[in-house]
Formats: sequence, C-alpha cells, structure tokens
Amino acid sequence: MEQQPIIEFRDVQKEYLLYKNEKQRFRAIFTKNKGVKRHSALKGVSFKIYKGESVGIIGKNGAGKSTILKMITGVSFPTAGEVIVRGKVAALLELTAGFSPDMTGTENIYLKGYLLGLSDDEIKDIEPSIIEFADLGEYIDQPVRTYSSGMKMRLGFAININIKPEILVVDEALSVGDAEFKLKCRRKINELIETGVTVLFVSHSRDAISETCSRAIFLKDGRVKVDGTVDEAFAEYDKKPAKKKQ
Amino acid sequence: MGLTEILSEHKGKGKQIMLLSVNELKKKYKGAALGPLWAVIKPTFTLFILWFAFAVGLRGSGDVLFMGEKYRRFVFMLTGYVPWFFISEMIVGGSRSIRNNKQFVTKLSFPVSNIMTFTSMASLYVHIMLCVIMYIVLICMGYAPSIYNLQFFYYCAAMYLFFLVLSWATAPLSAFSKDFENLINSIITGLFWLSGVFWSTYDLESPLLRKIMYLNPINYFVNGYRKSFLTDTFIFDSNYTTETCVFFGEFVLLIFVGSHFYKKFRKILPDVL
Repeated sequence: MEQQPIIEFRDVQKEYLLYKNEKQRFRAIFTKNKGVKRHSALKGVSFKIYKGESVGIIGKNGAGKSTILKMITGVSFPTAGEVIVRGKVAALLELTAGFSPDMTGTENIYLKGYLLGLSDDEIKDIEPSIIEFADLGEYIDQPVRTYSSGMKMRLGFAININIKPEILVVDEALSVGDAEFKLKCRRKINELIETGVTVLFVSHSRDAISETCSRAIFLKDGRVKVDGTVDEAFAEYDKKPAKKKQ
Repeated sequence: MGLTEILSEHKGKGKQIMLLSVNELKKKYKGAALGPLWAVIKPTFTLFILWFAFAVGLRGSGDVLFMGEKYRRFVFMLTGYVPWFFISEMIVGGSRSIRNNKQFVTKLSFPVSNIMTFTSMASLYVHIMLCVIMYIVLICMGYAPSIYNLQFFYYCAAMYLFFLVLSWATAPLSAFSKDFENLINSIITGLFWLSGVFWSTYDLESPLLRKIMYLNPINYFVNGYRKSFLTDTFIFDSNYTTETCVFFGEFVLLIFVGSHFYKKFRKILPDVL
C-alpha cells in the first residue's frame, strides 16, 4: 500500500497579472484581463513530499521558492494544477503576521492561535510553553505595540513552533533575535524534526541544508530542475554561475 | 457557488470573529484615553448638534410630515440619522475592510469573508450603543415605549445583513482597485440626500416618485426605524407590501451578486494586494 504524500503538487502553474497602471486595473474589473501582461512564476511544478521527510528547497531569487511556500501555507492559490496539503502547517515566515498591536502578549497568543485554527483548550495547553520559550518576562502582559521588533519575532516564533505542526516551513533568511535565541530556535527546530515532523527548508546555504535535509529540490525559472539528494541538487545549483562566466 | 464558500468559511469561527471584532474597535481608537468610547462620543455629539440646530436654533423650522402625521423635526432626524450613521459606516467601512486588513490576506491563510464580518460587527456594537441613547431620548420625549419598538431587532438585523452582503462585493473590488474605493466614497454624500434621512420619502406628492423611492433600500431601513419608534406601524403592514417585496427582491439579488464577486476575486486577492 502506497503512503499518501503529505504535500503534493500536481503540475502547478502560477501566473501573476502585471497591470500597467491603475486605469488598466480598474478596467480589468469589467473585462477579462485582456491585454494585461502576465508573469509566469511557476511553469508546471510537480513533486510529492511524504510524512517525516526533510526537504530543502534551493534556487535563485525569483525561481519560485516563495510562491511555492505561499501555496503550501495556504495564502496563495495556483492558476492551474493542484496543491494538496494534508496536515497542520506552521510557517516560520511571517512571524508577526496577525498580531494585534493593542492587545497584550497573552491575548495575542489566543488571537494567533485562533488564526492558526486551534481551539481554546489546545491554546491553553501550549500557552505556558509559548510564554516560556518567548522569554518576555513581564512584557507578556503588555500590549504588543510596546515590544521591540526582536521581542515580537520571539513571540511569533514561540507561537508558531509550539502549535504542534505536522509540517514545518522554515526560511533560513529569517533572523530571530540575538545569537543566543537563534541557537535556541535551531535546537527547537531540530527537536521537532526528531519527532517526525515534515520539514521544508528554504536556504542558500549548503551546510544548513545538508545538516537537516536528506532531499533537496532545485528550482530554476519556475520549474523543478533537480529533485534528488542534497548533493545532486547543489551540484546543479553551483554549476550555473560557472557557465555564465564563459 | 460563492455563497456556500462564504458560509463554510464562517463555520466554527464564532470565537475568532468575536475576538477580532472587539480588537477592531480597540484598533480604531488606539492610544486615546477614552478608547472605544470615542465611537459613541462622536455620533452622540452629532446628535447633540442636531438637537441644538433643530430643537433650539431653528425652532421655527416647523414639523415634518411623515406618513401623514406631523413630527418634530428633531425627532424625525434622530430616528433617521441613527440608522444612517450605521449605514454609511457599513458602506464605507465595508468597502475598505479588506484593504485595511491586508495582512490577513497576504500573510496568513485566513478565510477572507470573515474580515467583512468582524469589521462590520465592530460597527454594529457602536450602532447598538447609539440606539440605546436614542431610545432613552425617545422615552424622555414620550414617544416610547411601545410594543412596536421590538421591531427594531428585525430592522437592525436586516440592515446589518444587507450591508454585510453588499460588502462581499465592494470589499474585494475596492481591494483590487483603489478607484472603486474612491467611487464609493464619492457617492456616499449623494446617497444621504437622495435617501429619506432628512425628508420623508413616503410623503412625496408624486405617487410615481414615491414608488421609485422604494428602490432605495436605505429608505426601507430608515423608515423602518421610524415605523418602529414613531408611528407604530407593523413591518408587514399591507400598505407597504410593494416596498417589502422590492426590498426582499433586491436582497436576494444582492446575495447572488455579492457572493459572485467574492468568489471571483478571492483567489487573486493575495497577488494584487
């Protein structure tokens, strides 16, 4: 019996409409986007990721990494094809999204918890570990607008990491606080990986990816160029600039 | 169909919507010492001005003929202005709601139609508080209480739902194009004068014009409030069957149009905002 993939992309295409100006945009309400320039970000991407896998996603800027992540987190939708995600996703991407600046840290834990689809009881369960992880001291009962950006990030990270996700999406470019807190985050992510959570890791760093991932997908111009081991993917990824120089 | 999509987006989201609607109120008046109280103070002050202008200043401005009976200008304005304040807030605020809550669309996987629900609920809280003030004034002036006052709950609910459904279309359209948002903002003053807030649409001389006024749903609500608080007229009074039918026809049509536009724009909103 074949196991069901936890994430599945079936020939996914994504087109962005580029309106020349506001006039064209206004007109588009009534017409069917005639004469509007289109940018194709994904040109038929297919892959399957199974439960417990750690997959690295690599590619140049504009290769379509963010678009894929946005689809997995359910923010964006494909123009054609199908995206199937079977499980709760925690994305360490937009950590502070959904925070309400005028509510206290604790209130925001509930708010964000609801936004991520948790029930009251579930949030109550994880609240202590969030507070402990964020380590905000007395600030947890202060409105979030009084937080420094680092504190906001820490709270956001603490919530996202503690919701017991089945799929974890990590963007390496993310910077969370000082070196000490970064180490704490790295440790927590590794801890989660050991519990068998599925991880998607976006990075440019070979070391970071080979440390956590066994498989890598190399994207180029909206297509999957390599889907294999980390070494295979990076071999292809590193090849590119050399060719350009010639 | 769009409607089923919107309904399923609301399923089991009651708590979340409540929390966000309270938050919406807080957000609007953040930093102010009196906080959300401002939401009531501002329109109350306007009511005070109305009172001053029509009951004190323009004492000689005479009475208004409404459904064949004379009412003091101030009472007539009070019962019209309170629902109007809510209506204009629903139309303008509703159309801006998605753009104002961009982060829910572009950064989270959030049921977008809930945005319109929680922002409009914040306006509803303010409206209900204003209605309480209005009711106290009416009692003091001897117009209330009456069993017909209970009709308020029908008109208020219908009004809320009607403009919520309207925002299913206007909010995505305004988020998509700023020009559409400006269009809505510029017609709102015109709507005030075209609707029976300041004058009675029931007492126009031309019978044809009177019928045409039925087409404006704002009149249905504004006059409905007056029927509940001033004239003690039943919602489904046989003299107004045409008006009731026109309203419900428009409501059903709006549900189709609203959910159609919502569905059409839902999936492209994260890309254009």
